[in-house]
Amino acid sequence: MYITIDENDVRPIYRQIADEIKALIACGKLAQGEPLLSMRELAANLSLNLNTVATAYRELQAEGLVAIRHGTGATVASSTAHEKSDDDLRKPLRAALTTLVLSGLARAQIMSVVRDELAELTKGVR
Amino acid sequence: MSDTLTVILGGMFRDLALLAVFVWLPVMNKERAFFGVRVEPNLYRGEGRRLLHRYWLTLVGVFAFFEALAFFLATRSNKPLLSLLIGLGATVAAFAIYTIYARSVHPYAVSGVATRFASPISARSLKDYTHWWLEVVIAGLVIAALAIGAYYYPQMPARMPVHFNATGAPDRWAQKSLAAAFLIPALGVYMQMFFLIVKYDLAHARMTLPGEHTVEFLRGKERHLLTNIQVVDWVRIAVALLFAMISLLITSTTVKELQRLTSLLSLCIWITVAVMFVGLFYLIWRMKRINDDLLARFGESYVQRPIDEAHWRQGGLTYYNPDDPALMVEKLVGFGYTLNLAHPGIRSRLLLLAGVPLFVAWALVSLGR
Repeated sequence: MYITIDENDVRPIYRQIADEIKALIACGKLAQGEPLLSMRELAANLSLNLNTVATAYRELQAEGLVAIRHGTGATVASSTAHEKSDDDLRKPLRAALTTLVLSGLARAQIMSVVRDELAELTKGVR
Repeated sequence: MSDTLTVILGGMFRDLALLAVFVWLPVMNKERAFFGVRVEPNLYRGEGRRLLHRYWLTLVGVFAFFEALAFFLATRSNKPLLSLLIGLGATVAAFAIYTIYARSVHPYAVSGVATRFASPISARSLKDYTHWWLEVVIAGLVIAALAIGAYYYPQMPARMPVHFNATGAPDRWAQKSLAAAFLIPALGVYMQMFFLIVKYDLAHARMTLPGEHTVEFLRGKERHLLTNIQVVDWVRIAVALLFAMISLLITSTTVKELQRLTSLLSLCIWITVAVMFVGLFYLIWRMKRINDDLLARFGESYVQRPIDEAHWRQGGLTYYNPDDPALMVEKLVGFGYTLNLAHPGIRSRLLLLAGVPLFVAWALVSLGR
């Protein structure tokens, strides 16, 4: 199991890390209670500043997905994030759909993309 | 065979092995780490070959000089320590030549082009690489070495051996004391602690993965790391066995009822040393096979972000990066892993490493007569 960062990605690195870990939790590849690589080791593997990784882990902790304990490191705390309002949940979806519409894809193509991504994301979920 | 000839041939064999290593170092990773520097394939095949031939010629000349010196000195003073110093001199000279040539390659360095990198996300721990049966066997051998000394200590005479020659006969003696009797078992305990720390550091070694073919690459690198940890475990069990046998050898040369065991123990010690080296070569060969396989399938066996490339020094032999939180990193040139010399934990590790020869030297000087 691994996460990937891309220097050419427009998202900041900490966001990429958080998104990758969230995706692994969402698809069930990272189960509740599973220990994550320490911040120090992850920073070393990806040649990143420790603060960058710490920011990503803290964000996951704030969302209730990761528990950070001094001495024992980080573990997956839950497979579901803290409850968010309907509007908060729709905002990123709307932004992603807007990008797809502006890229010129037809409605059917967009539906197909969404179906594929959702299937990929949930195929490991029991 | 006379002692002089044994020293000369032993030294020559050691220096030839050393020469082979330095001949191979600049090209073992081809253009990806030519003298530890990533260069263009064209430079590697063109100007690089000419530079390499000059390096090889210089190296052979320097080794020939040291061998001639060793031969000259051995015919006048047959001292193994002298041969050791010659070997040390040849190593320092080879290292200096390698570093000088690496500097001349440095201006041609090019950076990697990859922008996507990956990392494993599941935590690794020492427990994942621990076999409890192995730990029980090692602990049993360490305790046996201590128990042998403790049990037979009252029967030991006033003079006891602290060093043996190749045939297992004592050639250095000390007054009977707890320090002399428990030197080997204590060194055994120290070395086991040292190897456990090495194993712990290896389990947390840096593992950067490529952005493509990540799953297969990760599988290869995990096997590579596991094999390296098996090297440490192999040495641990061999050292524990050796030290238990040496403790028994010391006792058998001084306690009458055990004296018939002396020849058998000497033979067993040499067999253990031979088996240890055969096993080590086999495991190192396996690590090389894993990396060769990764290289053949994915075009690289070692991945690092370009910002780390500049921190390799002495032609890729040492790594010094204060911004890297990793203590153990995979070697750019060579097999296995090396230490990040800028890491805060480096002092304690080097101190522990230096502790073994210092401990032995102190014991031989202060106890030996």
